[in-house]
Amino acid sequence: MTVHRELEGRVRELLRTGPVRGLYAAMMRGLRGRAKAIVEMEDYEAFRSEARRIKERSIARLQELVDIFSKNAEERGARVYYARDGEEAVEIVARIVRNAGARLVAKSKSLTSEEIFLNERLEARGLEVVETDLGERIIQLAHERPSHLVFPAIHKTTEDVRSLFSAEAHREIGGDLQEIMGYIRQRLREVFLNADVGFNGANVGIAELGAVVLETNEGNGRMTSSIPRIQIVLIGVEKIVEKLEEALMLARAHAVAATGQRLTTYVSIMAGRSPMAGDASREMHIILLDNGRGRMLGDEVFREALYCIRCGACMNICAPYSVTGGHVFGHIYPGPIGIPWTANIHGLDKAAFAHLCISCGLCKEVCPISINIPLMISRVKALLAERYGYPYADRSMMMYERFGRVASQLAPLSNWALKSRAIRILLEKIVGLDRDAPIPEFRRETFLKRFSRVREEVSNPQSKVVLFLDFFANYCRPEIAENLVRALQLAGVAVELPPQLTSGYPTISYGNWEEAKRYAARNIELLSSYVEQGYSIVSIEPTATYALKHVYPYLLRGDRRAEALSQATMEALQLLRRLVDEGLIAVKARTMKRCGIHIPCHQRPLSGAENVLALMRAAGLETSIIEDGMCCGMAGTFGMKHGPIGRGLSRAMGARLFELFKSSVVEVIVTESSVCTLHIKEGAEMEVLHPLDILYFEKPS
Amino acid sequence: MPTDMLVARFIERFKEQGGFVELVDSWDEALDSIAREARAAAAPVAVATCGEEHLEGIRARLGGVSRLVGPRAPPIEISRCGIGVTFPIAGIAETGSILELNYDDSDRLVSTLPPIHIAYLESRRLVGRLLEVAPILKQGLERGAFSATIISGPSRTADIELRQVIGVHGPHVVKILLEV
Repeated sequence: MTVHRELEGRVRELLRTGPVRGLYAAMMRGLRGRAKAIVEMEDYEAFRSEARRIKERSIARLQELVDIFSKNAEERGARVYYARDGEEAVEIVARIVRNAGARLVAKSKSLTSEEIFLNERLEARGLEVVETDLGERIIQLAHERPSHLVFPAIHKTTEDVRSLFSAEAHREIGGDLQEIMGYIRQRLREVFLNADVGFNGANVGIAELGAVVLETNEGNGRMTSSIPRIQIVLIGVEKIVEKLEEALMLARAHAVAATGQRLTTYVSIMAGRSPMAGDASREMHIILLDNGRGRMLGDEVFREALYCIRCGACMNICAPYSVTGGHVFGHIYPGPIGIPWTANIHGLDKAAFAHLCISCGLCKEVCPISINIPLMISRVKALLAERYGYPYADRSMMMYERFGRVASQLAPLSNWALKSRAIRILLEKIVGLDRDAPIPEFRRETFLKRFSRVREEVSNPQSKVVLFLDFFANYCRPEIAENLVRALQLAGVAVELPPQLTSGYPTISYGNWEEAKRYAARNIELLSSYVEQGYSIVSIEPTATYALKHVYPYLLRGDRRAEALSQATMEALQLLRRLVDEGLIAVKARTMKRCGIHIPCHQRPLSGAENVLALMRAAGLETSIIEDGMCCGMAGTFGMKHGPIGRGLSRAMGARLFELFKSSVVEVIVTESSVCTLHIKEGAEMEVLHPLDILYFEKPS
Repeated sequence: MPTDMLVARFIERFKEQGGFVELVDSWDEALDSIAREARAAAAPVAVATCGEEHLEGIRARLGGVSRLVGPRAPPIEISRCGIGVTFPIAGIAETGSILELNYDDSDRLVSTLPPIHIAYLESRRLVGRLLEVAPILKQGLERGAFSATIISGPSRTADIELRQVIGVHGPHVVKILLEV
């Protein structure tokens, strides 16, 4: 477990020093910009689906498109190379530069070049490489790595930058931002005009034109790709699409998701080497890089990583990244999508930061291509476990169902024991459950046992449902389930509660796919006969609903029953709202306190806060959503684990949300997630309730 | 989309992105504006490849005001210019952008190196959506253009402490002379 321990050490240190400076503001800027840009688009979801289809069909035809691209680019006078790995690509670049008798390479931002450590390797060959993107230049002078994809030097202050540039200039550069910009403009203008070779990456390759697309905001990319006599383009093969229209769509998707721009300021489409002032003796060299992409293409799970357009939206929404930053939550590729990329390109050991992922799933929701990043990360965790075993706390947390069963059977003794400091210290040592983590009280009578008393025969039911309980409503808060069942029956809905397991989502969170598949298969086996008879599956816990709707069909691809179960599954509040809207029941409130909604992450791809807001407002409650769009940090059992990669990080992630609640006017926090309840109650020191604690239902008058 | 709406949307979005738009009712009026800017900049003016009528017009109007550089001048000369004048082939209302087709890289530099970029665009060249420029672009590339650039405002960065700075390596000012 060396890689995990090493990661723990780095996170512990970060928690001591505090989050990366400026990072959260940068992330929020990206998220808010994106939200604003989306509102302006007519139908963003349709756009997003089309963007995904473009990547799906391009990756499906990857080899063919590479061939078409190469042929067309060469017909336009470019020289095209195929590099199997980084070393080969570097060698090609070095050869081109050497043959040109050149020494100075002006470079615009290219993550693909960082992937192959191009700068270091060229410098080792005696060449001078100058980064010309401002952020990248700062990082280059500081000999550091980017901490954010879009804002690589976000962790540097103006004073840091001033010092770096003063040292480079051998004179004092003033601290004023305009003066700094004046210096960098002048310094790099010399580079642009004198470089023998211009190097750039590419955001997209267009097969039908043999062209590359380059997006920059500063304008440096336009200069590196035009002024030097020799232009070198490095592009990952996965970036090739067939048509120009597809490239334009992806350019738009990239800008909207990355910064909330309608388009990046300069979108350059280059097809062959242009003459300069009539001089046509100029060269364009395009290096197509494989470096593990072919292997990813053949992998059922990781193939989807090739859909990435490098917008960085996934890191803008990632709560653990917001605390740890790209230097810890990343290797060369940072953030959530950086995990599968790192595992495949730089090796599994370098992807140990996968353990920081809390499986909130928001990276998939924010991704303009809807890439299933969370399940790829889960797969990386599974591979890490195959090599090193599971971290001991993860192993314990995956036994949550057994723990709940025993704790319930032994209640109230178990509740007494779980309040004992000595026992909690012992549990921390033995199973990794943090001694201070909030634990719910367990009920001896689970809802599965209680159901027979609550169930009523409904004659001529208007619909039939099966209740999917999951952990909390069964073992800890059966009254929530009871309130739901009584409301449904009042509306004329027949409710059944067949034997069932919990959703098993923690096994996905910690990367135990065999166990996750077992949970999925068993629940499908237990529930499918009901689905076939036309029952809907009504789920109380957002994570369980998410698992049934989105995770099971992925785990058991091709299983028709998993798809049917997904289709039949709905949220409890979704059904209650429908019944209220249809006038079958009326919703009332037990309190008139001002309510603040917390949306659990797994509810965002479901209804978000739509149903809870509608019901609470129908009950006359003053209700608002309190959020910054990120995870509260609890993430199931993650926040219960002892150590920095657990409760330590969880509390740091939650701190901002706790403050938002504390500084708001709300008197009670409402959320449908059981674990968010525990976390926010402790952190915000406020009352936190389930909507079904507050709402009750009557026959309409 | 009706032309007046296209124009209004284009102007609104281009301005939101930090650009300037001046409405002109003729090429002659556009020349007046270019001459005014040239006088204020007191620096040479670079001009991109364009039709004879436009080139002659600029030459005539700038005579005695500023030195004219190009078309197809070397980079070092363009870098000494205070203004670059280009002739976009289209404007895109959806994204508030202009599209330039380039047959020589010195044309790209005219809208890259000088601190002020002035683009003359006729409103009949406005399209509603980004994808509508695809056929224009393909046709241009078939007819010998080597590159195209979609420009959505001045050069910018927020790399230092997220503070937005307009004008990094590219122009600080991008002004469209939109003939309506």
